[in-house]
Amino acid sequence: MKIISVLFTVFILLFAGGCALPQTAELNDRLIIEAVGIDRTPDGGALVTVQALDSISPGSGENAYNSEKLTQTFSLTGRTAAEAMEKLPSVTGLLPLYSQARLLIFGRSAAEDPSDGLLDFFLREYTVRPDVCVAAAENTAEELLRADLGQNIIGAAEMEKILVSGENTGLTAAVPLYEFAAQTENENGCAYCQLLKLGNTSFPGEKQTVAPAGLLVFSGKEARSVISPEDTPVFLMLRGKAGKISLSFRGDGYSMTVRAIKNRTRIKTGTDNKGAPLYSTDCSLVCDITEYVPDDGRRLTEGTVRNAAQTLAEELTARAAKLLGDCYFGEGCDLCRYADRFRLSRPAYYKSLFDSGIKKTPPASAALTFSVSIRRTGREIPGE
Amino acid sequence: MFTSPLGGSLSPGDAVLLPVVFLIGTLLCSVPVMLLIRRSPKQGLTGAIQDTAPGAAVFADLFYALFFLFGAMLTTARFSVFIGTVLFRDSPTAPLTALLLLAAALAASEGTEALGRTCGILFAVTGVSVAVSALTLTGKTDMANLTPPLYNGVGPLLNAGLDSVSRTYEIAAAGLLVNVTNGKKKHVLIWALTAFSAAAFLLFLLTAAVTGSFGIRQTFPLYTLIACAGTDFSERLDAAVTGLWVFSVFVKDALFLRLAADRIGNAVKKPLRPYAFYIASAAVFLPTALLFPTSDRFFAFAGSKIPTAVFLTGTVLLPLFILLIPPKQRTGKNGGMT
Repeated sequence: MKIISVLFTVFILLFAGGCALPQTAELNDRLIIEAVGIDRTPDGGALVTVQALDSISPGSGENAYNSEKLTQTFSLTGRTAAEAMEKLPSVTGLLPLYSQARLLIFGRSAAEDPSDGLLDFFLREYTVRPDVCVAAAENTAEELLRADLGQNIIGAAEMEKILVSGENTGLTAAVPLYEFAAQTENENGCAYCQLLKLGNTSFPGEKQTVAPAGLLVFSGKEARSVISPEDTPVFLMLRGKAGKISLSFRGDGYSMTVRAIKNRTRIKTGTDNKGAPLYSTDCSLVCDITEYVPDDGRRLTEGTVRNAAQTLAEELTARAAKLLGDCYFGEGCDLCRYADRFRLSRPAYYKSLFDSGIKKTPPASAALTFSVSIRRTGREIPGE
Repeated sequence: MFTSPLGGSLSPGDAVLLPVVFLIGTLLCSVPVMLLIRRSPKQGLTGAIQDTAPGAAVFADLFYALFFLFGAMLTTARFSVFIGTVLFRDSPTAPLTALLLLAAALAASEGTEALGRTCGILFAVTGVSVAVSALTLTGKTDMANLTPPLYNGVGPLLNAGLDSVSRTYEIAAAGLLVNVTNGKKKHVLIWALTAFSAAAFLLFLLTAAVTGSFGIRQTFPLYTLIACAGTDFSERLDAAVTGLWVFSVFVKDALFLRLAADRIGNAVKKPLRPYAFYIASAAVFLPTALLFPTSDRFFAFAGSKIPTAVFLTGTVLLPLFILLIPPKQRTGKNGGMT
């Protein structure tokens, strides 16, 4: 009896597993989605653009590299993004597969619309991976996803590469969906995502390119301001997320390019004598000298390095202070998440503000310091 | 641990404290069972019932059989919701659930020793996967994602703690497994609960620090966390964790089926036949498939007071009731008292 039951169970497990899922679609019946773009239509509805691997056209599949494009793009409209997405199977004849999606792009019109619900579909759809990258288009998401980036290129993969590789050099930010969603749902949240634009083409018929166009910063669900590409590294440094970032600056009689190899940002919160919040941000960088170009052929000395470190620290402090002033005090975007940290360190005080009807922390003062240490690996720097 | 307590109504700061509340709650709920083990170290819970009220032993056996079938049903239904929500959205889950229970019945028929050895493997695999996941996620943490503990009062945390504790049918299982285990049983139970709570603390801390309120409010926070974990050598750690979950549900179901069948065998005073486990698995499968065809139905039931009431009856009230009655002294073969 025991042997029969063992054999029966093993047989069922080995050979009947496929029968257990009679309604599961085969891979060639699935629409493998690479990217989803969301724009607002003029009447307030949603225009959803889906870029998917081309499994429909002749020449796709095994002969994919002979086909003109690897992907197909579909645009659908609806009163909501979810309604538009629901039309996808009837338009394509395929069952959408979201688990391979790399990118979720908002058009500017969608990002600047404070109404709820644009993210809802993707947050409720469990097959969308939580670490899918979120970005915004300078114009429309449809324009980016329909761009002709060249043969045998998956547009979404190309854009994802721009985000991820650029983050290592401090030029772009690859923001995952879980981080973006947590911030947009947070009462103090300051979400941000990379802004992408189509690059200019020089010749007719030339393939289009995608380029970073700064960062789009949100306060809650509403896009409030744009951080320029030049200030993106400074913002990433403030968040402690700058990777091996390159910085060029001009000192007294020389130009220098350094590469940060370590970025550490410490944010402390407290209160001043009058009880108003006091924030201090200390950002430290350790840099290697990449290039030193003196105006008059002078050698690099310890004094020059000290001067360069001080000059760079002052320049970064000034740029970061302007950025913080514009975004935090001007637009109300809490770039360094001061309010969250303040709530964590002083919950009773913070709660008393909200209980008394004040929905934001009172006017605060923020101190900002950058410290830079510059070294030159593999070569000794002579003294004065 | 795999599914969020109370639909994820906790704040990130409270979620980190949840394992602490869980540990305190489970240790408190274990006290009656541990005292019974102390009173009857060779026979455990059933021996104590036999000694206290021989006439009620059959009813107690039948109660615990239903108790563990109920536990297996909740475990299976919870897993069924997961595979129907995340893995195979467009497919019915009943065939997969049936396969799982079939395998669990086979494992149950192999005996408690085989299950114990399987648990040993599972423990090691779980430990390694938790450690790897933690290592890959530490670089993604941001302490600003945490919220102050008990910021919204103690109520949500206590409710979630009670919900978590009431899923721990293993406490009663420990009381029934006394006669087939060696060593210091009470210490093993305490260490098992502590180790589980420590692992849960680490994982909830990471969930809160990496994903903030987004992850904590998900129906399957741990799955969301692991989906965010990825390294250069393995980007899909969630697949490994899903496998681990399948494995742990299989072992848990097998153990509960074994205990339920044992109790029925004890009640009818007949040796167990292998088909008893298949009947038990059918008794789990049918209500699971019929009562919870959708995830909404399951969460409505899991959020009700019924599972908590069943847990408290089998783990706390019944053992406590037996403890309060002094054991009847048995008469030995030579007429002496034993």
